[in-house]
Amino acid sequence: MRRYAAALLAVVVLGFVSLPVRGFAIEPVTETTGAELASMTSGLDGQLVRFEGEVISETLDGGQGHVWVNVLSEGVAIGVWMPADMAGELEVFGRYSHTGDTVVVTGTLSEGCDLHGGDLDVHAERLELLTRGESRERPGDLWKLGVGLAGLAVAYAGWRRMRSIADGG
Amino acid sequence: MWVGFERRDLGAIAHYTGMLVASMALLMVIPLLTALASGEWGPALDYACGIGIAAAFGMLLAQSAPRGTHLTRRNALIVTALAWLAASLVAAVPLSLSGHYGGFVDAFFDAISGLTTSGLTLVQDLDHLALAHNMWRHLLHLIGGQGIVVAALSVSLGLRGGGAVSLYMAEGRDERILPNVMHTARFIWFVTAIYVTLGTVVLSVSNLIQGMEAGRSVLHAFWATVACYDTGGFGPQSQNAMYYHSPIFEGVTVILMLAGTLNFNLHADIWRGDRKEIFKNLEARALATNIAILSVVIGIGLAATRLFSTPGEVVRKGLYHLISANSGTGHQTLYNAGWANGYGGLAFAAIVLAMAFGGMASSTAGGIKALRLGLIAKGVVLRVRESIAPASAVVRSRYHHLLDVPLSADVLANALMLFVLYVVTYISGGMIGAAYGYPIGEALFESISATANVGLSTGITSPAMPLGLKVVYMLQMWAGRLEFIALFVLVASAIAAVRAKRGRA
Amino acid sequence: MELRFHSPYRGWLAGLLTEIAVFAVVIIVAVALALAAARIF
Repeated sequence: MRRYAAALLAVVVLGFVSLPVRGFAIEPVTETTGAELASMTSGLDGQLVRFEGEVISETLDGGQGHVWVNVLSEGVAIGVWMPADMAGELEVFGRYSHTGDTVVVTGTLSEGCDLHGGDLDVHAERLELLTRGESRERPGDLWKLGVGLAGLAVAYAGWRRMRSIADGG
Repeated sequence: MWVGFERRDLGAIAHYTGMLVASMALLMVIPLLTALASGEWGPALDYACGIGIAAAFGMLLAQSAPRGTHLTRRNALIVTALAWLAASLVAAVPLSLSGHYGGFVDAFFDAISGLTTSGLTLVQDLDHLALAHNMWRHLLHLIGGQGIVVAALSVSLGLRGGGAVSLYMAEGRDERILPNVMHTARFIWFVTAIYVTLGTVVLSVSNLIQGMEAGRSVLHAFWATVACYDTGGFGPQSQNAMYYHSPIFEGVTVILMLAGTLNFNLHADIWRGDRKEIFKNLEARALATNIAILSVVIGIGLAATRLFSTPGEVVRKGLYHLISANSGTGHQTLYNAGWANGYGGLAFAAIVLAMAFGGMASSTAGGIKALRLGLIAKGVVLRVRESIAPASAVVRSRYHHLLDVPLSADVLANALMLFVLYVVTYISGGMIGAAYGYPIGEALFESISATANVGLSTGITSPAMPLGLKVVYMLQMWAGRLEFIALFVLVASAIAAVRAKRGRA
Repeated sequence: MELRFHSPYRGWLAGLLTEIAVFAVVIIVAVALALAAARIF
């Protein structure tokens, strides 16, 4: 019994310790995904949202000391606008040869952003790096080369045959 | 009367189809080099395999008749119809080996979409696709847009004399621009080279300024240029034009889309010095009128949703999609889902109409085409004038398209027939989509996008869509690109061949 | 009647610039129309 009481106390204490970290935010943050944000039915326009995803673009110039970073979340990439120094920690963006940095973006969703010509975007307030991106091993299959060479051999034989006919051989 | 088939016809058809397929093997060297240059060894093997299969398949087909075999007009039409399928079939091989497609059918879908300059795609995880595969997808736009046949002419692959002329005419670009086919092919490539070079340079600079590294800047610029100038719509990133967050990118691509939708004959006329032609031309006027009216409609439509709080946003989003739809390109700066859920019925309708109408004839644009709409409008006016005039009066109408031409009943009937064929195909595809359980509006949008080779999507086109609908959209892209006639000739000839066989048995 | 074949290659720059100018005009007119429509609404 005492053990349960201690566990309960620990939970309560931990809860109180961790709550202030979340900040007792005045605005509630909605956990979401890129797919939901782009659905236009999320009902989150103008609200604070948080989503996790992989960085799939270099930091693109966003004007006014800001940059754009495109973050792929649940198959849909969302443009995230943030102050340039916020993106300073980013190193690897996802492409064929690399998996990009995984980040958690907290920011405000605009379904038609007035600052950016009506784009659907997120203006970031916080960016956390979850895992560093890394290069990807993409081994190839050598049998493909075999098939290719065999095909070329067949094609060459066919071409020779056709040419000899055309030359009246 | 249906003329039956002989073994000789089949041989000639197979021979020329084979030569065109073999030329795809040559073109696959470009993505192979891209792969080797960027150290993508896996994709390099995909293209090594693809080249072998395309070359072997093409050469085996070509064995069916000796080189320089005579090609009748009807057989040329059949070759054209088959060439899109055969070329797509081999073009899909390296794509399907990439591991980014749900299966060969999905890769085949993308190959057809690429060659017909549509832009609908079933690729998965596009943001991690190899540069080589992106090069090939965009190259398909260039090859298909400039015409498989013209491409083959340019690499001088065994097409000679009369065969080449009828092949070219069968592509639906039947007005001859320059005295002979080689000149025409060369001139089309010349215009293309100028626009592609210019677009690539400007967009490269824009990408560099945005902060992309040099190699990626140039590749992305080249791909975007090709996709816009050939009114294709593929992009190397899942966000398409949204990836760049750049008004300059959007402005340049809109100009490229307009250049791509301009009739090649008009390009030729203007570049030859007849600059007034663009103002007098019926088709140019029809397209301009079309864009002007739909600009107002989409402006009202998007403003009505109150999603965008400034008129500037309405214009930037509205016009980009309007021109993208009207030119048959399909680039977008909005998310697919918004068409059904966010941008309102009127804007949706404006985009649907723009896609259905399409750009100019003898360009890479799809749809009914501005020339036909202009002719039909003239025809309506003529009929009204006839009704008003006294019975004894002879009422005539003329139109200006490169030359001053009297509006004949023949020309008008042809325009109306194709109008009807397009509309029937649009609606049929929409009904099939609805039968699969999609909302009718979205199904119609997607069906028109496929038939008019546009590539905008409400999100129906996805790897998860039913196989039957994938096949329907593939058929629509193919039929729309061929403007139906070559397809009908193929079907009619097949039926005639079967009948002849039965008759002999 | 004189039939002369003008090379389309010689005047390409003037042609290109004409085309781009016309496209720009089309875009400006479309922008003006859409802007007016959006404002009035």
